Amino acid sequence: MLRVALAFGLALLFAFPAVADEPFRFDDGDRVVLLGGTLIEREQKYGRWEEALVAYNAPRNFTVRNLGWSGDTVFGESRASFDAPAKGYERLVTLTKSLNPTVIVICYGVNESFDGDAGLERFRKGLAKLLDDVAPTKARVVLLSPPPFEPTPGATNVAARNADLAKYTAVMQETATSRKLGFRSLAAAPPATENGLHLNDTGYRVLAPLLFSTTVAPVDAPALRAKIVEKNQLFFHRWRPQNETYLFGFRKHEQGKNGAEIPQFDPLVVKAEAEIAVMVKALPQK
Amino acid sequence: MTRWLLLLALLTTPAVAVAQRDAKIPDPDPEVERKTFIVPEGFEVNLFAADPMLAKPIQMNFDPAGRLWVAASEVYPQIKPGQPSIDRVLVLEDTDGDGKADKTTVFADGLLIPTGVVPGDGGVYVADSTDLVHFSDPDPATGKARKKRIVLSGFGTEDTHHILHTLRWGPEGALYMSQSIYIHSHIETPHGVKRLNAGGVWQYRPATQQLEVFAKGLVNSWGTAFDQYGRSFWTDGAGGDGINILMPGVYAATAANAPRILGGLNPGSPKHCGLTVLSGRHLPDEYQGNLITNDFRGHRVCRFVLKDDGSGYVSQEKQEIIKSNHPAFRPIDVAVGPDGAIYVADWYNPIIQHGEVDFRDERRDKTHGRIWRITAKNRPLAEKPKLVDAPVGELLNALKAPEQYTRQMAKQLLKERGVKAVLPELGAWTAALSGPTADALRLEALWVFQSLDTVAPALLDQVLTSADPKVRQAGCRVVAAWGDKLANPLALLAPRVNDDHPQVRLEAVRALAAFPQVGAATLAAQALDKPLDKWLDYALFLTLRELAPVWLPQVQAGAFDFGGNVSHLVFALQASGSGDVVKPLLALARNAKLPPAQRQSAWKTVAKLGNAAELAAVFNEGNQAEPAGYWPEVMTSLEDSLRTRKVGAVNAKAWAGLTAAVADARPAVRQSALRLAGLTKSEEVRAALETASVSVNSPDAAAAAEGLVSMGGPKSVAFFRKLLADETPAADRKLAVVALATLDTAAAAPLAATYLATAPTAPGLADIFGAFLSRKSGAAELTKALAGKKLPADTAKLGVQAAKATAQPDAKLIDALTLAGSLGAAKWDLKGDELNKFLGDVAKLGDPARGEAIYRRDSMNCLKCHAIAGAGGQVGPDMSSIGASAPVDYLLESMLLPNAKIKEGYNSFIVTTADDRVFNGIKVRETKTELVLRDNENRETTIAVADIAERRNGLSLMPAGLVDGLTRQELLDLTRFLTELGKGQYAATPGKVVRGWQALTPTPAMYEILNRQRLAAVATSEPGLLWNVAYSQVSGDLPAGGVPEFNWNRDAPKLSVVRFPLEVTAAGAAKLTLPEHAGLTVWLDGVPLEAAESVPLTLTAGPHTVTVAVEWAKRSRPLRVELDEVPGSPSLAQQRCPLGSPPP
Repeated sequence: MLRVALAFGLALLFAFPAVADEPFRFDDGDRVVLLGGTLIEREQKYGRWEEALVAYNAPRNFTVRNLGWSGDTVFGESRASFDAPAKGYERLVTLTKSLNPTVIVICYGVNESFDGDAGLERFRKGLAKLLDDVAPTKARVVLLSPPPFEPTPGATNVAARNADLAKYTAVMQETATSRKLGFRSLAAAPPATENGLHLNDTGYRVLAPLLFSTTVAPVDAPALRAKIVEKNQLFFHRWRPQNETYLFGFRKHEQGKNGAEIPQFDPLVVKAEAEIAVMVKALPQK
Repeated sequence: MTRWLLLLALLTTPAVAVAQRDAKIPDPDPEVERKTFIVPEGFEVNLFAADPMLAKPIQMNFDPAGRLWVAASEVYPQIKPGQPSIDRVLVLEDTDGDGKADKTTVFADGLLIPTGVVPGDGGVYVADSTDLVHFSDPDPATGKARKKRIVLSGFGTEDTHHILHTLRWGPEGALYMSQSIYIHSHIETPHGVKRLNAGGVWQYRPATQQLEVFAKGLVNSWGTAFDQYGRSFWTDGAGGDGINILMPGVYAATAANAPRILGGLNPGSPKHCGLTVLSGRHLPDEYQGNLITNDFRGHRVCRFVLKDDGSGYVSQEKQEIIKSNHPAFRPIDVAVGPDGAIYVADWYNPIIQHGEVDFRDERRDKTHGRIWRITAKNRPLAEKPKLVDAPVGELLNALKAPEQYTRQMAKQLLKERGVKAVLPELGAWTAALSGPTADALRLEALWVFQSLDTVAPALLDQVLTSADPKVRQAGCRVVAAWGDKLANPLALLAPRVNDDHPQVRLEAVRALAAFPQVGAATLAAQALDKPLDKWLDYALFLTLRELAPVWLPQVQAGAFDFGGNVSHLVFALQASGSGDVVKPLLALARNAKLPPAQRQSAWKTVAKLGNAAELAAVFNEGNQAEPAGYWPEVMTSLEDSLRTRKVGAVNAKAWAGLTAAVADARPAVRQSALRLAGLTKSEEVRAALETASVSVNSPDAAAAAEGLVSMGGPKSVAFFRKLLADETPAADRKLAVVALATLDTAAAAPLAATYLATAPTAPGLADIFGAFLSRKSGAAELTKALAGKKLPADTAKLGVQAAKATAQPDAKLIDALTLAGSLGAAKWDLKGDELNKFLGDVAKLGDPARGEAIYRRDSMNCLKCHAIAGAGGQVGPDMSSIGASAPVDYLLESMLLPNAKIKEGYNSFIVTTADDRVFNGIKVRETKTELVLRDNENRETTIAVADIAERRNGLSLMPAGLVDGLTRQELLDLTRFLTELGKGQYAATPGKVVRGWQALTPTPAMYEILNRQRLAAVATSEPGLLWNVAYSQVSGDLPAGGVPEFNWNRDAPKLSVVRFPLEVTAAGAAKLTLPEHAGLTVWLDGVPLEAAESVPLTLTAGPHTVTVAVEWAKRSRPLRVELDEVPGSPSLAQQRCPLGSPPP
């Protein structure tokens, strides 16, 4: 255990000297995995943040795998499907590890925050456990805290919601500090949500600069963004295909043979990424 | 593991090859399809739209402009790698009003299997895989939406015919959406994360983003509809209950963690998709308010007529709106259009769904689709309303239209116009209402207020006090929705809980669940002071259970007791289902001032929920002397608890009373005491158990043996071993073998093998195999013991049958039995050319009539597990129209390899408990504490979840090899019969033909009884007669030879006697129709009736029995009995299918 921790610390120390200042600075060959709830899940459909990351890091080449799942928490609550809740968490960790990431971005806290003070310690422990469980990847971890709730018709207690949320984001920040992890906060985000909670295309665009501590020029590369979205969709079909019940679940003895199609998405993802790499070269280089 | 691989290898190769070679693609000409349609007299069907205007429609809804919005998917069932997600939302328009669409607009594309579409809020809501999205802002040039907004994310996609679907607006402006059984959804809203694992209905209010689970359950709920008064219904595309009541908060069949399940209105009426309520001037009077849904499997557009029945309904299926034998006609959605005609979406596909047929089967149609339009001949169409740009005043007046379409669209538009535009006129419009329709219109106005999120207390009060109960019941749901925005909501509901009309009471009771206050519970319980039918009982159960976190702690603290009303408290405590209720219930049970029925109920509930000491208190203090079944029922509850729950350490001394009870004069008490003695390990009683267990042919012997098994320990083992070593009579040795198999499986196996080798074959020997198969090591031990043994062939067959009937048959045991019984291995194994030849011969050489006779053979056991139109066992799927939906290769494979494709909901579980007992069955329901399985004998078993050590998915409960005994011709005939089911003369017609019977089975006791009491005794509830279940043929006829025939006396004619139970919910007149009455003698509840073509019945509410004696020699045709209404009579009589063999 000590050896693992030591190795992890060393990796941080030598490979990523600029972690604390600029957690979203990536290196050539980095494999980035995004974890979180709806905020992360929907980003794959708009591609605004990934576009900003690509532009910021150009010409360095890295890959992004979005594992966001609506309603999810540090406990993997949205991922159990037919199984017991513990299996959902196991799936979160196993899938993350299987992607062999060098960077893991974790954006949780908003769903957990509905539990208020009563859930705070559970969240702290859950986050710590998740970090411990993905530590064997030796990936650099970035904690991203969610933007605040905004007033919306029907939601009458936004101030209380945000007071709770602030406590949860504070836990994320404390955890990042004590473990020397990257941390960015979206707490100071300008009003940008569509429904008080989630971002639309404009919202992701407006919040994208907050990922970086330095001021970055806004990017708008529609062709690149479309290719990113296409890549994300192909990867989504790969890791969260429809009809899981038949393909890999308890009815696979019937139509499981169709599961052979799913790995066929892999080369398509790789191809889309190769096309993204070409597009990156055309971006303004720093 | 090896077996699994083998099985998979077996089923992949032939199925794929055959599926392609056997493809039967019908002529796609819509006119060819239309000509197959049979419609009721006075109706006609025209083609509204067809490919290439649209392909593969899934859901449709009209908009206020009269345009038809259609969600269509060519990608279904699964996107291929590299395939773009090309699915679309289409808008179909009939611009010239000729009843045919002449314009298609692609409003949105790039979708992934969109399964729901409903226009509204300035655009259209679409169910798009994981998301609910809203498209709007059409490009004036192309009509295509320019704006896309993701509304909700996180819907599960575990099965693409279960994903988010069936989008419908409620009358109050909320959006209702369904998901089905395999789906797990996790939706973030500003009010928190909402999760729904398994099937159910969501209710979403876009304006406030409130998302709630409105109902849970059903397998695949593709139909939701509201009637004029907001009464809601739903249908199940996979379940079997026809129309279901969509009660707020209901747990319907299959619901996860269901404390109790509410069944549907038409048991035995499977597979209904899409639902609408008919209304409007175009349709004849008798069609108003009818519910229309589709049997896509049987190519039928079905019509149900609902009549109020207490707080619920009686639902009767009438002649279909469309009936067809076209193999690709797949009606899946239905709506009434702006012209008052009925529109049906026809998915058009020879293959339905993708669970059982390969995703890439080439017979899957990807390019066709139709919308059919059904009109009444010689009746004017409804005038299409002009709503879109109408001023608010006109929209309000549109609420007066008899067409629900017009009212619903007007409400949609009023909601979109907003508070500022609508409220000023709405108040004045409402105030000016008068005349007989005023109350119904006030309800419409109330819904407009609700959709505008504006509370209108005075109007609500008017609605709640309307003279029309249908209006009053609707008001209750509004009270729940407005909740604490109302000054005193409980005061509004109080009179409604005590309303004269049970439907109003039901809605008021459910509305109270929205108020987490002790006062709401007190009020809800008042519903108990008036008669409680099953729906109201269910509603009250739900409400008190949901409110339990508020009132239960108060009861436990002694601060609250439902105003001292004992029956209220008992009901509430039972509803709460919490172990914390035992102490107050025990106090009630001990209260001698209570009526016996309430005390018994309290004792039973304590027995059901209490700990070991409390169970002993029930036994010692219960009213043992109460007459009839009072005390045995309490004792059975004690047994059940001790057997299936962890009740804590049992102190045998507290059960000293058993010593006397095992000698009680009442057999039921005595036998229960023998079992309880074992369960409580009352060693003091052991000697009595041993004596009782060896008393030859005594009905107590089995109970005593069971007691000794429960008591366990070396003494029990030694006792049974000694018994087997001695020369005891054969019948009791069987009992001993069964007992020992449970106590010491290894020791029992050789003794069992020896016994089986010599005992005469009798059906009862199956118990021995059952005993071994229900032990973890049983099959292995028995296999070992059978080595080198010879068994009588029929005994070995019993063993093979028992082994095959388990969820994971033990191949080694089957081999050992086959060898020991020299059974040989006559097994059907069709492959390659042989298989193709066989499939080709089904249509050429198979005879469906002979096939039906084979299907009905006792030895085939088909009827035991499968129902046709509700008649038959409930273990396997209903077969009513299987031939119309399943390809022949699939049907054959299902018989040869029952485990190859298992219908959803019919995969079995194998549960092993901590004490090594093994249970097989299909899950009926599961709560946090109990798992209920149904086995292949149609028996339900409750297992304590805490006791479960392991659970695995098993195979199908259908034994493999059922058809092994058939010749090739017989198998061809049987397959042909199955392919015909749902078609032509093999389509089970709806209506009231009696399909489920009990047939009198001759026994020595029967001859004695009839000779003493004469034939009329068969129409009495004489307990000595043995009745077995029998079923009519698909046609509804009960043929001679299908039931036992006998001469009960030398001089009496040869005859059969059958009977069926009737359930009457409203007293009045009904009639029996007997197409041929020659040779029939008919009794109603023992009173002889004159047999005639039409036999009038005068029925009181409650259960009745009709008995018919049939002299076949006097008849020219099979027996057929139809139960019909008498026009004008309120009588609501329904035949209930008998399920078991005991008398009703």
